[in-house]
Amino acid sequence: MAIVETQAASSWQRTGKHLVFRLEGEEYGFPVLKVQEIVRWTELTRVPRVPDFILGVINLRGKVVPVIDLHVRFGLPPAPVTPRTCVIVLQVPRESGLLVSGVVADDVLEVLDVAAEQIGPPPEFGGRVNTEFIAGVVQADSRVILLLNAEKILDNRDWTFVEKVLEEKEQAHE
Amino acid sequence: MKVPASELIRAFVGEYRQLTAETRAPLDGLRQSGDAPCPLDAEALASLRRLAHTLRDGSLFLGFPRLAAIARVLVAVLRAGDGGRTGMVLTPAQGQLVVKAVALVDQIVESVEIQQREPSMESELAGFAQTARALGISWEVAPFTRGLSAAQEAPPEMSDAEKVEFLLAEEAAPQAAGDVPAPAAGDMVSIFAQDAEEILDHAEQNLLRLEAEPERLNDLLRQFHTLKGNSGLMGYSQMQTISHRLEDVLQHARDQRTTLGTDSVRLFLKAVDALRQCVASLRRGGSSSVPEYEAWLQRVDAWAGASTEETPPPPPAAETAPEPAPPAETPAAAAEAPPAVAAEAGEPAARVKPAAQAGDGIRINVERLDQLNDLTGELLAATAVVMHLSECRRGVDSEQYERACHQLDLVTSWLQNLSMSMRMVPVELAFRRLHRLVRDLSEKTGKPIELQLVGAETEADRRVIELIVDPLIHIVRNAVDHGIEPPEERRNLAKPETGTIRIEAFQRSNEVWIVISDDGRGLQRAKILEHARARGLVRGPAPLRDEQILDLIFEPGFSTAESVTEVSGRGVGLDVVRKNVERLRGRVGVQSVEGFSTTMTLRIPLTLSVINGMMTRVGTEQFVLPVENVRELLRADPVDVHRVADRGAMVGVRGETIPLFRLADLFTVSGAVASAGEGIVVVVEDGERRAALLVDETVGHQRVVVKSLRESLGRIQGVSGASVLADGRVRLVLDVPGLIGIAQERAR
Repeated sequence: MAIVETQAASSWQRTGKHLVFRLEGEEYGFPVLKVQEIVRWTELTRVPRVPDFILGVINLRGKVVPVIDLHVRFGLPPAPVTPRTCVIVLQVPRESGLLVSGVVADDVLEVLDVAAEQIGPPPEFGGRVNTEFIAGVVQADSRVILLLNAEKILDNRDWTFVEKVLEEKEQAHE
Repeated sequence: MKVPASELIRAFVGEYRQLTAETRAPLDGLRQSGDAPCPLDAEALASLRRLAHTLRDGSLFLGFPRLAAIARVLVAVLRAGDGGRTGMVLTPAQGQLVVKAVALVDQIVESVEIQQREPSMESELAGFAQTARALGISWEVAPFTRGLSAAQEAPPEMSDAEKVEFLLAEEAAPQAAGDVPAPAAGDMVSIFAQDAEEILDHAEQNLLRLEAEPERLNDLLRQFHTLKGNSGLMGYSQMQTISHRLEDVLQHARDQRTTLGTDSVRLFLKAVDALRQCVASLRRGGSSSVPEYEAWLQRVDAWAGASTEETPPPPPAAETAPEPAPPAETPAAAAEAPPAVAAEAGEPAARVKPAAQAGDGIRINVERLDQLNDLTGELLAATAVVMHLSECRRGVDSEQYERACHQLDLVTSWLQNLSMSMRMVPVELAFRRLHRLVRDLSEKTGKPIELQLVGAETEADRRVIELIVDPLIHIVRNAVDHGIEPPEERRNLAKPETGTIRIEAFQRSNEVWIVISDDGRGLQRAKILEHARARGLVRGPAPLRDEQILDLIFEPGFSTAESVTEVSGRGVGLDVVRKNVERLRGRVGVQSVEGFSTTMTLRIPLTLSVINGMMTRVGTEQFVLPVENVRELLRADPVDVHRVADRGAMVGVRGETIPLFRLADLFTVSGAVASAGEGIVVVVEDGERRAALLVDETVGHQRVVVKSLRESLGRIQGVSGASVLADGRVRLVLDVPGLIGIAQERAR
């Protein structure tokens, strides 16, 4: 069920088709060009000593792919796994090749065509989600969709730092 | 400065003519053989193959697909089983195909020379293609595969030559006289750099063997010629000029039927280093300017001038003497002159590692690619059978199903072997640096040394080869510095004055062995012991076995170098070698006969990605422990476990006290056994340190493929990767050195 777009990426990557999904009752979107596939929720293998928003790793046809819990990443309350829960597998380019990771969605809704003029700037404050993860906001009819920045969400360059902080916390406790 | 394509084409045509002149005799033989099989001796075969390869590479670079296609057919016909060492016998049909191919090439080259483009010659080529296919050789006129791959924007109606011009105009337009910016597109630069590195590597090899084998001059000429052409095509005018001048010097030597003297070789080697620096700088996205360009120009000019004036060529020392620089320098001093070059000259090997970062291309044998294609086809077929059987479940007997699954399994394992084999490269890549290293070291220390390399064709995983370079260099340095005695001393010992270092590579079961031996003074046990005691590496009076004593030289902080020398570095010893080899999950061993020899043996697994794993369960989780890190398993009697104040639990294992950790604590897993009496104690070691890990149970052994998590999750201490097991679940593979590290931090 891969839905990878073949059309060339538009110069302004926020426009174009977006995959819209639900998280804690709100709607979010990723550019479909960043979406490799959507897979059903499967059993995860926990990984020790990583930030707590990493739920674990899954076997994606022989490849080992980490899964990120956006609830934790965004500081939202945790949600139970339902039959609608699934993993959106994203791929973002990095210097060393494609970085592939999954994010958990409560429900995947649709692929939506978004025109440039529909997109507003990310809210400066007041939202529930850290604005650095948000690329823009679409307001259509009565819906509000937050377009997410896949690169930022998957970026793991500071995770080792996070790990260190965790460790220090741990040690302070002891 | 723009190099017109016409000049490149002229160079190409010239080279082709030169090569055909060499192949005239064998070709005449083929023409006359008629319906009889035609034997080719090794020399004839070599010259024909050289023609075919040069033709193929050149026409690909310039973008002549028809020529390249014919050349590919030639290469295929002339592929001999044993690498052509004993020549081969062509069937009459093959012989005729070769003759036909060369005739066609002649025709095309002629029109290329005049019109700067390939004629279409469709009917002739179609006929030739048919003949080739009849012999089982594939025929394909591929559009540009590399030279012009970056020029996709070139209007399609352009002829090939026009495309070259187009490309050149695009790439070379911003080219100023200073040669400062790197003008070409990224792809082209990396292709050029890869080529140039290879050419320079080969040139270095030829230079090093030139004195023994003067006929290598021809190869050298060709190499600098190619480099000149390639850098010209890329618009790197300084590299082009230097290569050109060097080629002139070589050409002159050949015209005079002479070869290069020792000092000239030394200068050429420095030039190779300088050119390598340019390539390295290009790879980093820097400029293509040659370090000390003006100085080089003067030096080479002076040199070329000197050899033209004094014919027949003078003894080597005089060759570089008339340097125009004011002080009359000796050639050696002149060679040291450019500071940038001299500073690096001591480290020729460290600088040039086989660069294979992600994104770098590697060359794969076309045969292997074909096999890959075939196997993928078979895999699809085997999968289709299984799918079909699973669809019509009823009426399928289990034997039928089993057979289909077995076939699928078989094809999959073939495919796995093949894909692993594609990562394999010859050890020769790691050996290449050693010739130069030994030569430089030998000059520096004044010890004549012969380097013998055996088994350079042995293959190992690419990454293994990359990581083995440093340890090899280290060991060779040690052998020269501490092993081989100075010539006077050797004479007194009735040893040949020239020391020998022999490096042998071979495969044994699942490992590559690299054995480095020298016929120097060997390892002196008494000295080693004394030293180790002084450094606190050995305590107590307990006598050590011989191999335990020798093993001490790998201990961190151990070094018997009585003085710090320029050759063997400062305080860095063989512990680094052991560490590097262990990173490859390999082992180092040493044997020595005092006064006669030292032999180091490196044993490294063939590939890094497959390990023998021991499955362990901790609470609800399972982990894979690499078997080579596991020393023993035991059920500890609770009385053997004691708490040491401030240091946590320790367990006594046959008189040795080892720190004990619950794996569940290190990884915060819940529901695991609490005390040593209930679970299993796994004693692990990483080569220097030991620890005991408490797990709930072990669940068996399995060979697993380790996948790195570094890209997606960063470095995780204590985890080296993940692996997908037979049941489809992912299990983490433990990194024992990392685990011991965490454990020690906790204990502190």
